[in-house]
Parts: sequence; structure tokens; C-alpha cells
Amino acid sequence: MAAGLSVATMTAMLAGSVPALGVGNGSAVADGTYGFVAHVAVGQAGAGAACTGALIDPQWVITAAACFGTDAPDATITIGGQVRESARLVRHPDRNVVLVKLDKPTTVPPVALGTTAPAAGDVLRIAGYGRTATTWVPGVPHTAQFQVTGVGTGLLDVTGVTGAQPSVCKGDAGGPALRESGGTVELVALNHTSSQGGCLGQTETARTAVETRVDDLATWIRTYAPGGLAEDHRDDVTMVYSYASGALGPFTFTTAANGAMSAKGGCNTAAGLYTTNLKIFRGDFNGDDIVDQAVLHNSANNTLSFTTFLTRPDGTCSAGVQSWTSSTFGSYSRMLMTSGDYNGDGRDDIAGFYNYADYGIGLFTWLSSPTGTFSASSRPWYNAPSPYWGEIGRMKVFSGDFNGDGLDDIGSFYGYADYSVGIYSWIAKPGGGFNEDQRAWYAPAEPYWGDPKRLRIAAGDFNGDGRGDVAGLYNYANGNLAVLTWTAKADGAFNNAFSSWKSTSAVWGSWDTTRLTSGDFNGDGRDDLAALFGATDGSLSLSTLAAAENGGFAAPVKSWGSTTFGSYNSINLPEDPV
Amino acid sequence: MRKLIMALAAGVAGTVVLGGSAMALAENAAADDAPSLVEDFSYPGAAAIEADRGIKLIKGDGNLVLVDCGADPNLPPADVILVQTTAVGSPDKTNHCFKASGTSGVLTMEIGEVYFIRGEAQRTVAAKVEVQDATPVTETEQVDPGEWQPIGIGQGRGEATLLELRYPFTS
Repeated sequence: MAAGLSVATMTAMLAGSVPALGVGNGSAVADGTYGFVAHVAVGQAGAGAACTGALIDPQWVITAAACFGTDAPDATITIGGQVRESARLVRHPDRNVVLVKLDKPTTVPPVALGTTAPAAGDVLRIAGYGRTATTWVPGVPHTAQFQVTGVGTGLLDVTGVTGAQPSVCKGDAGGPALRESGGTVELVALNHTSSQGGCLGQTETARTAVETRVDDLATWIRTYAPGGLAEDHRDDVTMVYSYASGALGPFTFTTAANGAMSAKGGCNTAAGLYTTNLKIFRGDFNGDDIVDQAVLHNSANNTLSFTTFLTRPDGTCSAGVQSWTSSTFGSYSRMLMTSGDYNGDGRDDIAGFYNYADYGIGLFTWLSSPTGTFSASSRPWYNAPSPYWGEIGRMKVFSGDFNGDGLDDIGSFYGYADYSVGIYSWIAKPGGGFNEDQRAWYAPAEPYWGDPKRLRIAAGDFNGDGRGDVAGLYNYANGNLAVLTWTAKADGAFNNAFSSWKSTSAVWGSWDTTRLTSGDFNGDGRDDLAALFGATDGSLSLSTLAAAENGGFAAPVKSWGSTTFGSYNSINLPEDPV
Repeated sequence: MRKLIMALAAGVAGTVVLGGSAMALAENAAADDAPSLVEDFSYPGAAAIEADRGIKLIKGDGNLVLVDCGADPNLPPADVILVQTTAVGSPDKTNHCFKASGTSGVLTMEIGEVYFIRGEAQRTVAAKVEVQDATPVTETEQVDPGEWQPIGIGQGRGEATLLELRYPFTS
């Protein structure tokens, strides 16, 4: 950009009567503008650190690496009133830049990445949550225009252009420098350092600032944010196909922006290995933020073993790695299994109930390692034969962080002999293990509630409140179908179920060939449901039921279909009750 | 050094990116010159305040800030917290007033010779003090809204240093 042109641009922008803005010496942004500007809080307010960042993907924020120091502390990031926790940090090797993955996506539109270098004379708008001339912690971002005075290979020099000359102040680190032209806004740099003249409590008078260039980092940024289809903010359906040959085929159905799903496999096992019982699990078993699959297999000679199939960033899978194996643990038919991150280490683990022949019942866990393999079992909960607790044949287990404390808990429906129905929960303890079971929901025998055996369940945070809920597709005796949601309360108990989408077996199809799985398929921060349906003509389909704010569900929208993929009964979903 | 770079930049503004050793100098200069922009919650202008009033204001969340005590520093408006000291000096330098906002606030400090803290109108404040008893103790005093809470010498004990003000109150 030639100097003359940039002066013209600058004049035009000033003439546009944007109020005298400032970071120091400017004005607060109006509601609804610059919504992608993120507040980044590391540690406690008043003791930790605070910075500014910019949302560059529904689930990623870019900010200054300096905000995180040399270790990787947890951060709380607020964008447009949506509060998220940091889930992963990716530092740039030689610039003051870090990418922060959020624990779940936001619904705020991200800022575009600029890919053209700024030139001296360009005017950039700089935003930040930092100190102003008069306020220490303003709580709202301020912006002001700055002119580029020098361009280096990794840094820019800027100085304020408005009348009451603005400054970049403490708390603005990592805040965006934006190129605004023709109605578009794009990110070109991040606040790096500043002489901070004019900021609250400063005696320094110089108001120059230095920005870290990111206009040349778009390729690096997009390698991580969003990364591959299995890493993006839209969750994917996972399943394992049991071939007639005895081979297994793990598949991830990656989700495109329009909701369409496509199967990614690539790691089928050899034939003849999986001819008997198996149970599959979904989870991020190695802690790389990509959902993997694992299989518990009970071989013909009654040897139990876990095999982990790690998913690659593009959704294809890598060859299975076997870990825990035992010929003495017990009988597969006495196990009822689920998966979740019970110890809060960022990796999903496997848990399961074991019903002893003497009517005792135990809850076992197999913890995951950084390579995605599983440890030997431990038994954090046990109920002796007397007093009798119950039996796994009456249970339907699921996992979720019911009380929102960051640790996944275990829940189970229980269908009593007297036709009453309950949900029990085992709340995970911070130091590991579980609290004694509590009854988290109950419907008495009279009036008759229903039969849990007519319910196919899937667990997820359907209302996006940070607590794990449970939903199910109920098959009424008259052929009516309804999706029910039990949302979790703050104490980890469940509210009474409510119904949302309803249909009939005549309109939708048979409940017997419909199964549910869950995930945030549309990337709005709320888990959704997907229904796998096997039609009478042998075709298969997946349909997404998007979750509403209350945790109810919209009507299914078909996201995938195939007449050649395989048979309904050969598909294993993690929600299958074995 | 930065001036030199700016001049260079202006001279070749038609090019997209400047290269060469001059830029390396600019970046080094920038990195060395300017202080960090990370909000570390250190009190703005603390050094000047210490030079002026002899008190150290250390770190806070921004919701508790030093304000002017007004015309009568010994009896400031009801909406500020007053910290009275026995330090020698004019009343406007030995009485220190803090304005609270929001539902929570914290400020760490070192104010010596404190003998009274008067609460502000609405909030119950926790005042962490170190008292030079025979064995020095650090304790938290509850300062109720509008109440005058004696501290240290005010309680017939040793000299007291105020270390922290915080609300909502927790012991």
C-alpha cells in the first residue's frame, strides 16, 4: 500500500466519525461490535494475569504468549458474555503468540485472518480490555486507531492517530490490531509491548506501541485452529463396524459446516480377530483433544482385552494398540461398561460395573495413559451381597459431569421390580474414586412411568450449562416415539424428564432399528443427538437432532445415508448397552 | 533507534515488508524498550503513591481503589472505607480512603500504624492486619458497614499494619 493511499484511507476512517476511541484514552465498544474480542484471565483476579485476545475460530482464541508465562496455567476466557475454560495451548515457536483452544465452542462470529502485510502509514484499530487513562479494570474492551510507523519481520511499530492520543495499556497484551476497509475487518497483529504513556498511574509520556505481526501466520494458525475435521468445533459420530470376516472397522463420521457427515476409516483389523462379544467406547483416551475409540473384547477363550484406536486429525484412524488384558478378571456377561474422564486428567477412562455371582456389585475403572492405553483395573466402589444393592440387568449406564465440577460421573437408570424407575449417580471424587451412590431421580410405581427397557439413552450436555444430562428415545406401546431429556441440577441430581421431538414408528420408522449417539455436531456448545437408522431396504442413515437451549431436540435432519455401507446390526455404537 | 527505523519505513512505504539488519535492530529495540502489556494487577502508580503518602499498594482486582478523602479526611463520605493511621503528618496524608465497587474486591497493601478502619455504607469488609503483639500475629478483622473498627493501638495492642482489604467478608 502506497503512503498516499494510506493517508487517504486514514482520513476516510476518521471522517467516518467513529468516536474518539482508545485503549487508554478512547471509548468503550458498542454492544454487538468487535464481539470477537476476548477477555483472557489467568489465575485469580487480583493475583494472576489478564490479557486480551481475539476469537479466530468458534473454539480458538489467539492472544499473547506472555500472558501464560512459561508454564501452562488454566485460563478463563470470556467472549461476548460466553465464558469458557482453556483446554489446550499452542505456542508459536518464536513470536509472542499463543493459540488457546476453548473447552467448548462459542456462538460468536470469529474475526477473519488478514494475509496482507501492513505498510507504514496504514491505520489499524487496536482493541483491548486493559487499563484506560482513568480505569484500572474497565470490564469492557476499548478500541482506538493507530498508525503503522514501521514494519519489521515479526513486529510493527504503531502510534495513536486520534486527537486525544490513545495508548496501549496493561491488560491489552494479545489484543487484536485490525485492518478495517470496505466493511471488512481482519486481524493483522496482536498487542506486544507499549511505552504506556497516558495509561492510568503512568508517568511515562511516550505513547508508541509494538505489535506482533500475525498477518503472515495464517497457515500456522489454521494448522491448529481448527486443525483437521476431527479437531474442529463440530463433534463427529464414532462407530465400529463388525465385519462378517471377524475384522473390525473403526469409523469417524466427520461433520461438515452444513451438517453433512462422511465416513473416515482406514485402520481395519485383520480378519478373524473379533468373532465374539465386544463393547466399544468413545473418548479422548490420549488427551490430544481428538475423540478416539476403544474396544473391550471377550475372546473365544474368555480372555478380556482393551484395544485403543486413536483417531488422526483428519478423522482417519490408526492401527489398534492392545493394552490391559486378563483371563482371570471375570465374565464378560457380568460387565456393564461406560467411559468418561473420571479423574479429570484430560483423558477419558473406562469404567464398568461387575455383578458377582454372589450378588455383590462393584464399580471398576481402567485409567488411560498419555498413549491412550489402559491401566490395570481398580475397584473404587463395591456393595456386598447383603444388603442387596441391585443387578446390572436392570441398569442402563452412562457418564457425564453431572455436577459440573470438571470430573465425569457415572449414572445409571434402574428399573425396579415394582415398576418404579430411578437414576442413580456415582459422583467422582477430586482425588480419584467415587462417592457412594445417590438416587438422582425417581418415578414411583404409581402412576406408572414407563419401562427403561423401551428407552435407548445417550448422554451429553444438551442444554450447554456445563453439566452432563441424559436423553433417550422412548418406544411407546402404541408405536409413538418421543425423545426425553433429563437435565442435571447443580447438585448432580436430575430434573424430571420432558419430551421434545415426537413421531411414530409409522412416520419415522421402527424403534428397533433406531439407536442414538451424542455429540455437539453443529458446534454451538450444546451436545446434540444423532439417530442411526436401519431401513427395511437395508440402507443406513444418520440424522442429527439439534439440541435447543432447554436441552430439548429439534426434528431429525438427515446428515448421512448409504445403501452400501453395511448392515445395521453390524454397527457398534458406544451407547450400545453391553 | 526507533526513529531511524520509522524514517526507513517511510522512505520505502511502497514495499510490503522491510528486510535487513535495520529491522532486526528495530525489533530488538522494541523488545528491550517497552514494558509488558500483561495485566499483572499491580496497583497503578504505586510508586508515586508510596512517595506521596508513605503507603504501599500492591495488587488488586481493580474494584478497590484509593480515592481522595474529601474536605474532612477524618470523616470522609459514607461511601468510602477510611483507614486511619497514627502516622505524623497532615490529615489528608495520614487518612487513606478506598472506594469499593462490584460484589467482590481485593487489594493487598502495607499501611503501617493503623488504629481505626471505618466501613463503607454497604459492604462488610475483611481487613487482614499484622499486629505487633508480644508475638506478632496476622488476623482478619470484620469491618461492618459504617462501623468504626479499632485496630492495633486502637485496641490497646501493638502497632498494626494493614495487609489486605477484601469483600465479601470471609474470616
